[in-house]
Amino acid sequence: MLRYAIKRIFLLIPILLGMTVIVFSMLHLAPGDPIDLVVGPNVTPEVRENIRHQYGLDRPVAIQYVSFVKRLLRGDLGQSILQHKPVAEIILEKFPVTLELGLTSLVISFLIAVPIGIKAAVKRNTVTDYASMSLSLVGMSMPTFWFGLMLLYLFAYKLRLFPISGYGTWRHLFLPALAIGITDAALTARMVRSSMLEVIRQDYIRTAHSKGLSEKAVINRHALKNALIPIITLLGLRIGWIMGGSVVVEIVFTRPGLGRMMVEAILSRDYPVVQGGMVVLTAAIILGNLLADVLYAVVDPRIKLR
Amino acid sequence: MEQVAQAVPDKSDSGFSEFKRRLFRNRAAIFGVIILSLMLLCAVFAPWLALSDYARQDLPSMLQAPSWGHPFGTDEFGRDIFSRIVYGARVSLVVGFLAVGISLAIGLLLGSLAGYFGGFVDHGICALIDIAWAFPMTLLAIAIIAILGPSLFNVCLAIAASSWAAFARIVRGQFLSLKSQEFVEAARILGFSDGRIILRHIFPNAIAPVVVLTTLEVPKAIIVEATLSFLGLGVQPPIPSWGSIMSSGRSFLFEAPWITLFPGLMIVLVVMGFNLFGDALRDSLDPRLRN
Repeated sequence: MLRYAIKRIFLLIPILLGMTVIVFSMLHLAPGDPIDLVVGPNVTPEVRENIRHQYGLDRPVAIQYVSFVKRLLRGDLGQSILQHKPVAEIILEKFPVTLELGLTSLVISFLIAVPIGIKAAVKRNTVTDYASMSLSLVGMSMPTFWFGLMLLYLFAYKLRLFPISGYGTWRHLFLPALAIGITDAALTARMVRSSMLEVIRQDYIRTAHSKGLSEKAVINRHALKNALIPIITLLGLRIGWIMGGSVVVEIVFTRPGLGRMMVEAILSRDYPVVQGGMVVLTAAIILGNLLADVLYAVVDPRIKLR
Repeated sequence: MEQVAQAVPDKSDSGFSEFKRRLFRNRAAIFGVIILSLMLLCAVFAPWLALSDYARQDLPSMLQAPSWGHPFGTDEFGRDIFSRIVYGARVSLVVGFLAVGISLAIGLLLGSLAGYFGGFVDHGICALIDIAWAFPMTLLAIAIIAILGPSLFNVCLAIAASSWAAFARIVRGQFLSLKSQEFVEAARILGFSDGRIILRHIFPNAIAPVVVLTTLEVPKAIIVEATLSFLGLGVQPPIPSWGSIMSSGRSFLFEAPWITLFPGLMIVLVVMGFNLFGDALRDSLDPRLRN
């Protein structure tokens, strides 16, 4: 099992490297001279060349990439053009906010999706099944930010149960997490249902039935444990989606997180911040997937035996 | 007499009419088709369906609640929301189909190459697919807009950059299973070139799941476009996009919630329509369900 975990961690390195290549090329793929992103247009040619040399942009691209990676490993993500602070410092401030939102949304989503998905699978083709899958369809079809806005209007403004914006208490967290959690649950419930259905179709379930066990015993003692394994892999899949959703939700609820930082940086052309944010966000998603994979290996006894 | 009549193949036994019959038996599918047709009508006939020009400002009537004159209310410039939504259907449709069209082209190309040639080509393309798959669509799209700048076409590119992987994967799977079948071997023995085999022999048999995937990827594209426009990273004003209407409506969320409510409802309806249609399509194309 340890070997499996180590193997996966090694596989991680090329993926992370590949991601750094992509994020690095972003700056250089942008149309126009990267220098224009750092200085204004009303600058003399000498000053431009100075700045270019200062940022090392006059060296060959490959060497720039290597120094980019070296700086990354040291934790140096550059300097924000607008805020004149190290990008790493800004990100360190905002990361916990986004992490909090992401984890809470994940928990809410699974708390809703797993029971509903299992129930729908067990009671296949009944009213329960059709009703929950219809609800799931509606949930899947809603843009997350729109749902967030509607929640904001109803619960924060009309009913005054929650604050309209900000960060700090659980009340600030609840509505945004609910918005992401419910829309994610809609899709996750479907996936839970289909993996549960696959488990139910297995021969050992038929054996359990023919042994005379009640439906409830069959589900609780046999089906659930085996269905849990693919459900855990779902965790890894949904993390990426949830991080994507939190970007917009942070804007809707004015939470000071990574997502909002990214969008504002893009709109104000603060490229070091955009780059740093992309590296951190994608690294977090990749690590999250790795954790889910390791969790899967822990839970699935078949992998332990390899 | 009857036996003779049945020996002659009837027009209604053809695969396509069987497929149509199964498709329209599904009520959900019909609902989906109705919604999609309405959206198409809105997009094409927008100038006639809309109550007024989408950019026409009428400041004295600003921020009015829905009424007979303005079924969906007005925004902060007095513009009729209903008209803006009708015109917004154009943007959503164009982006949906253009983005998925680009994805389809890339995905079909790379997927068929990977599936047919295998080996090194396959490994390389699979690695590309995994990388594209790993990034959440919204985040990748935002990053690409950061590089290319906001515009309708760039939004399509940004969406396609993520969406192509799903197509490539499906096409590759299809090719992998089809290329070992006898009709392909026969074509090779007959001396047909690889290109011809791919295009005229394997493709037609691989298409069914691709069509289904298209109906499911278009609504995803529509939602991502709305999200991008909401963030200001998509279609720029004064062109109305459902996302940008909601974005400006956000400043008046409490005084005039209808500005944000209705575009979102439209999106929900349209996405549901596509999903229902796609599900029904998938069920009717599934050879296992044939009685």
